Amino acid sequence: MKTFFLSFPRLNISLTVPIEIIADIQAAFLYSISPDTNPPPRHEYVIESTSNGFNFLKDSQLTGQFGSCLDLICRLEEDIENTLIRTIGDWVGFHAGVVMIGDTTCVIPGNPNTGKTTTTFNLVEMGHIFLCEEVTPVDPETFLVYPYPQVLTLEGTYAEKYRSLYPVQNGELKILDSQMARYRPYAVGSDPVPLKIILMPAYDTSQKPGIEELTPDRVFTELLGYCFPPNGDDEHLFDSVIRICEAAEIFRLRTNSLQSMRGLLNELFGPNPEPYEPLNP
Amino acid sequence: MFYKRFGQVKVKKVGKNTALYVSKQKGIHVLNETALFIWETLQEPFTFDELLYMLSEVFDGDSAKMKEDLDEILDLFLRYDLVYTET
Repeated sequence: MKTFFLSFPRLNISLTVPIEIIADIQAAFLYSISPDTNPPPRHEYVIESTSNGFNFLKDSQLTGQFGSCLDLICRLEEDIENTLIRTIGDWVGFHAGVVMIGDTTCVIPGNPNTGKTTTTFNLVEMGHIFLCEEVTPVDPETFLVYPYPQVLTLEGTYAEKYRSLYPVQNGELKILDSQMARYRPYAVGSDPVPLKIILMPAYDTSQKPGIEELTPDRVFTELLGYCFPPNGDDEHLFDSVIRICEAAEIFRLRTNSLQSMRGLLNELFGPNPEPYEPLNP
Repeated sequence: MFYKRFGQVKVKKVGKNTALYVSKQKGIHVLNETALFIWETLQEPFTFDELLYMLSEVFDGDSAKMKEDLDEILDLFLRYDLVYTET
């Protein structure tokens, strides 16, 4: 067995796993594994090998049984996300991906199947540094976005199509089947970065592609819908989202194809930076 | 029948617009221009007809549509506990 210490914003976890899945765990949580054991972990996760697969115990309680390592990792990611959302306190947790655009961030919120993860993926592949996936913690007082750089999960068919059109150069893309592909970016931010842009993707094959600038009043209630339930009172969440809306530049990205997304992202963020050269590809 | 504001409603600015927050409902409502006018007018209690008259003094447009809009806005205000009625 090996114990990893995982570090997230306001949350530390210890994760003890059997030897045979060490490599998978390292790949899945690479950017969260910390050599530092202080502060002590708030939760202890233990994975046990069984004859049928794996048992997942959280703080000594059996939380789930899984037949495959991938199912286990997906469940671990989900559990960590839910735990993180509860521990970020009075920060806002957006259901969003984030990339760094220079020394600021572009937050990409959205419901499933709107193009949130594919937008994040494309921006990383265009050379921008990855910061968050699925959960985006934002401090509404400082407008700092805290890193939560988890592996991106894409549809396998999308990943296949992408790979037929463009080289995958800024991360490791593994296509597991037509349903699922996993993408681990090489360049990841490790410090909080100020929020500047909120980009709301809207994918629809029948629409005309374009970029629309949005005002806070037009976007406020929609953006609230992309927030995880608050830990404190709702009024604090509303005030925080109002502050964030008023401080950010907000755009809707209407796309109808992979190519149109790529074109509009280029239009919005200018020419690509140089591709990231991984040290250990 | 007079329309009156509930006291616990909080007014918040969202960019150039205004939203109303009702803590017991855990809800917030961004107002359009007409709804904001009605809300601000209801600093004092008014009847439907009085509100409609004031609305027609300020906004241009088809009177039947204006009546329909006012009816809809007051309906929403009542549903979300922003106002109540008193006879």
